[in-house]
Amino acid sequence: MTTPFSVDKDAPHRRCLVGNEPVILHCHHFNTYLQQTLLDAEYIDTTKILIGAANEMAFHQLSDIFSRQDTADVAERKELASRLYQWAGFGKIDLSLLKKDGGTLATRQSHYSQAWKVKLGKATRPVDFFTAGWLTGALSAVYGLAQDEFSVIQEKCMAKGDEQNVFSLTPGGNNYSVYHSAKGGELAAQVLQETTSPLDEDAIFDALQGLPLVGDDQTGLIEAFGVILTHHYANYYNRISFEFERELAAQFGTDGMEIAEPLLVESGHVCAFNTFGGIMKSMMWQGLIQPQLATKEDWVHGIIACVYALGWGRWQAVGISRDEARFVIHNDYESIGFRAMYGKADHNISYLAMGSAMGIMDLVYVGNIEEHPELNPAFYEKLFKGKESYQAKVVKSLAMGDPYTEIHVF
Amino acid sequence: MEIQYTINTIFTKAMLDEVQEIGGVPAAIAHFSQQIAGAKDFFKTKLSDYSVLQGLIGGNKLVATYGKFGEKTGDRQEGLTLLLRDKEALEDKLNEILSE
Repeated sequence: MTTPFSVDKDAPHRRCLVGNEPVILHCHHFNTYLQQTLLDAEYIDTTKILIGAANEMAFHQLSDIFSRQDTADVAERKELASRLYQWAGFGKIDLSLLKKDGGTLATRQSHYSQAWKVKLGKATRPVDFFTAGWLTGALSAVYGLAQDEFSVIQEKCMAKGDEQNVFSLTPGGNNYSVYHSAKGGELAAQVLQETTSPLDEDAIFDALQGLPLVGDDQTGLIEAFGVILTHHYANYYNRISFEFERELAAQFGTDGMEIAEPLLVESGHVCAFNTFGGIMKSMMWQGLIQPQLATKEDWVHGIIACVYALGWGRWQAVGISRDEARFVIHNDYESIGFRAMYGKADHNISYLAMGSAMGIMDLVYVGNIEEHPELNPAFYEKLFKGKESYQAKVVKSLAMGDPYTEIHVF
Repeated sequence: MEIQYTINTIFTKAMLDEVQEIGGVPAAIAHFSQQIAGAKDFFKTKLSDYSVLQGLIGGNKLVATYGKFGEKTGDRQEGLTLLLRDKEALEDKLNEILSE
């Protein structure tokens, strides 16, 4: 699919940027689970965070693209924005339905609403906070208005059983938090480790770039590896996760921080189980990666090579055995985002990385993923909550000032 | 609905050329064998607007996904009819190819 916007691959750092925003691949399991984690904390108004973060991403990304392309025509901008939304796998929208004074937009294709219903069942209220916020930011960028010009309400939602999602945008004030994008952030110099990987990781990275992982023409969704993927914003995940943690800390002090970490790490588990598990069972894996693998340790290297294609930064695994492994992550997107948003951290914040690193070891050594087990809830419980399940400790943190993030899994 | 087929021979490029006629568009092929020694080429081909077939050239397993997440196919009965039609078309074609 050719795009009217530039998709900038940074191969040495294993990153991808669109409109100077880092974009990463994540699945519907992670997207819905993380959102539900925030919504379950009813003592905090997390909806303003969810909508505000999406507003932030759309506004800054599209403003950057429009500026670079010198595109002033409103119809062209709306078309580009609509195509970007579809390319990313968020669904399908027609921005031409909205005007400078707002309006109403309906759609029958929504990653968040459709994924929510499949994974979590029927919702009791609208759940596509992401699209709601995204539309406000996009419309402001299209018309060159203030980022928070529009408030938004999602009036109908397919997750509730409605036929379509319906959003109403009204000018004159926002009903969400307003954030200013950290954009690509600053990268640290990579101190690559020696590993025992038998794989040509650069060649695998190149090979995976050729996979057509873009929103379907009809649905605007990306089905692959048994999951529904999105080219999502690293800084969206960062913003909602870190603002969630900050709100908990503001309300409950250090107890709040202690509540946040296991919840956010669990989201990483969920992601690893479904996305990595799906990848390791896929035809793509069997064709490209599996022929090069001889040992269980090789399987860890193999999935690391696939992580490269997700845009999460450059991962390496060293000292791998059944007992333990060290995951060295250069420029992990959580650290890059945190430092750009809030400055140096005083505690570890690489939650997704922790959950994912544990997930890899659990899938390979506890789950025997090479036998293609069914990835169902009972298997998830066995892998991640059994007595053989791995634990993780962050021994170095880029966010805290170390040259990279290192996670010891044991 | 996902169904895995195991065939009793190696799936070749010539077989893919025949199967892709079901959907009427060329299959998308990732030429992994040209990039990594020992790798097999991975393909994905449309069976219809709702169903796809994936596999490896040089492999003996095929995975058909009948139905597309998020696609509206009218009422439930109509949707099932369409998917069964795709399933029948693929299985008829595979039987034809494998009996040659």
